[in-house]
Amino acid sequence: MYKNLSAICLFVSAIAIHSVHCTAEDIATDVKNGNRSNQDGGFLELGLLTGYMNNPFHLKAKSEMEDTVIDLDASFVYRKSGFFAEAVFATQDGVNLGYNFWQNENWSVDLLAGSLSGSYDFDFKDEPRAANEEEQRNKELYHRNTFHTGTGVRVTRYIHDYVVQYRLVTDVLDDNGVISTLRLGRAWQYRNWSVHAILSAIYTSKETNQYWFGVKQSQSTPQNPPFYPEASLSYSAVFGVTRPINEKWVFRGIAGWEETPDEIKPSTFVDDKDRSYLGVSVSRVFWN
Amino acid sequence: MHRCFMDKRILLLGILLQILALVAVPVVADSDSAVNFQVKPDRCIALRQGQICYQKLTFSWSPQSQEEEICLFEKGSDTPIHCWLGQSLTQFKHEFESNTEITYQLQRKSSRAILGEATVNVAWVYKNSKKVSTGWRLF
Repeated sequence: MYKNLSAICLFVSAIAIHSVHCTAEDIATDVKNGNRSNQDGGFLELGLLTGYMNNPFHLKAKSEMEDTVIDLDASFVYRKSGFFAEAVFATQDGVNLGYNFWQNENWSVDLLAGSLSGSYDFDFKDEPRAANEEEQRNKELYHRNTFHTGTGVRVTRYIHDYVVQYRLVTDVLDDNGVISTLRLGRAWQYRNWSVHAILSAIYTSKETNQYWFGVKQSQSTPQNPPFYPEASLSYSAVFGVTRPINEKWVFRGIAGWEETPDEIKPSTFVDDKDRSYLGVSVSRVFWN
Repeated sequence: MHRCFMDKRILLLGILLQILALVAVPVVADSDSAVNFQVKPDRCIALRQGQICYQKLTFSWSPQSQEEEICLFEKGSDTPIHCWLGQSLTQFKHEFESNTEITYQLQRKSSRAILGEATVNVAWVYKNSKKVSTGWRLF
């Protein structure tokens, strides 16, 4: 069960694709749906995704997602009296648990109690132990967890057909730094196709980059020398399409690019290339 | 006495009208059945409630013996979508664009008598839950 959860988290974050209800939601949902509300309810979707990913990250948790991808496509959104839980297919922001505490026609402000991204497995180590042998240290560095438990705020501005969303979260479980994103999204309708695009700027703090890609002096080995990345700013773009197959099934296509910031490229776990991906999925909408 | 006679006449007229109404309904049904007017598909699926739904429709019907002009109408519209001479056409393709159901009618052009009727429904995957209120929430 836990591995399944881990796999979903891994999928959501590592693939980091986003493409189509609602208190201000994950921008992918807002943009895809072309609307929002604060009504209680939500949706559940399950499906299958297949595609290709060019992944620059070589941490075990992420390298598993390289090249051809066939995976579960799972999305869940539920709102009740302002509280919400979101795990939206292809979102960049992972799983969000929070509360909408203010909104009007054009603005919405959410408190994110938990904005969860990355992967976690009890078999992996958060902190490779310096006392271990070299081979073991390499293995532990490679098998590290990347789970980020963010708490913070999310502000969404609706301007005609555009959605602008700013999100600031800080890791509360292990002080693994701050992630901040600014995204601009827009959707269009062409016949029964919904087409959407999201452009993002992503700030990742020094502490988060260290958690994900750094190697402390005490952990280093000849294969993985000490590495202390600085904070980084990177950009991404996503283009997606959604089409109904019938009242219960939808087809989706997604293509995206995510810059690998220069600050982390010297890492022995990162290739000198950007992340890109292309995929299609078919999903069953179980409740909406 | 005279008033009673008038009441009876009104009563008889009412009964007669009701009989006529009852007879008229089967006439239309018979006509529908003879024409066998159909549309395929009869449902358009939009992604979201309220969105315009697009669907290529094919109407079909049995050949008409009379050489008179027949037209395809959207119910309630005075402008025909297409007209043709009786037997010259038994199928017609049309582009559906609507966010609500539309009923189509096959009518005789001269008399506007309805020969057949078919409805295309609009369904969706995600219901539109747009409802935004302003203000602070306090649990």
